[in-house]
Amino acid sequence: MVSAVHPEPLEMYLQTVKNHLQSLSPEDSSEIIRELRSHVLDRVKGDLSYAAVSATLTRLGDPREIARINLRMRSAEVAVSHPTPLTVARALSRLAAIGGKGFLIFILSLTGYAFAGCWLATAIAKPFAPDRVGLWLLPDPTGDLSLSLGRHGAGAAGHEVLGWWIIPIGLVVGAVCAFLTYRADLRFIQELARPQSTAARPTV
Amino acid sequence: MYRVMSTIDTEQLDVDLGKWEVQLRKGSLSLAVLATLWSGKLYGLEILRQLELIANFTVAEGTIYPLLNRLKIAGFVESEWVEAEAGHPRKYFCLTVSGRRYVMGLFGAWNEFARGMNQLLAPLEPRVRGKRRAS
Repeated sequence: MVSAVHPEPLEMYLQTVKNHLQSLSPEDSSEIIRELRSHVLDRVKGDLSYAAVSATLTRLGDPREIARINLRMRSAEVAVSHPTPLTVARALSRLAAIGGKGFLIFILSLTGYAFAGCWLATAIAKPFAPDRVGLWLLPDPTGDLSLSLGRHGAGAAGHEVLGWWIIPIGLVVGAVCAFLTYRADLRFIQELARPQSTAARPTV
Repeated sequence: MYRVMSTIDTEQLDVDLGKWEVQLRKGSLSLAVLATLWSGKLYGLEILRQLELIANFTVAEGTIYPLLNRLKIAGFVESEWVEAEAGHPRKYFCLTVSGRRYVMGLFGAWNEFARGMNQLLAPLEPRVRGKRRAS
């Protein structure tokens, strides 16, 4: 029955939306397509002419933008309603694929986790290679000093700063950084879960 | 010079007012959508029509379903597909018990806020009425 509707504009529109929803589960994607199809058929009120369907689709908006809004809100909703590091990371990677702000936050988040990971890895590795792992103060060729965290080559210049204190400090700094990155990610995702650009000024 | 500056200020004022109004409407969109469902179940287009007819609330069509889905995940709304007389299935939305409780809470907060704001803005009322009469 539905396939009897002017397939060109409606099906092309829905296919474009679907193509941009590939990072969602097939169930979510099908549900969105079904909602849109039903909405268009309601809007045309039985007038299935090419012109009526096309006009309704124009009113509905750019299919890529519709897909982006759905993708953004659906990705965000799952993470907000069940916030775990896994759901937040998954939502953030999907949002990064949309581009723009999502991509920037994704890069910042990766940097945050990488920083946390360096501290944690150093703290954990310290007992296994106490002479080579730690926080090192290194002389630069320019004469300045720089700090280096992690494994240090045998016989290289520089001296260790924290000694065995790197274990508790590394664990605490790493855990705090990872937690703050997670909270910042969640906050960003919560912002995206709010309706955006949905309400226009009344045409009074 | 003065006139040019005054024109720019008026334009800026209109832009600022527009932005403020959009923010206000965005902030109350969830309440508006939930309120449309208070009397019973509705499908997407009916919700849009009620928002527009009753509250002059224009919502971009493609964004109503993501919003309803957000309310569904939050547990305030539930939905079901119904084979409609129109010849195609329609997705109907209705409030859950916690959705009813939530909308009542929002309504109470809204009333309290509006009452306070109305009292605060009461001295402006005669001037606004005068302007309306003049225009």
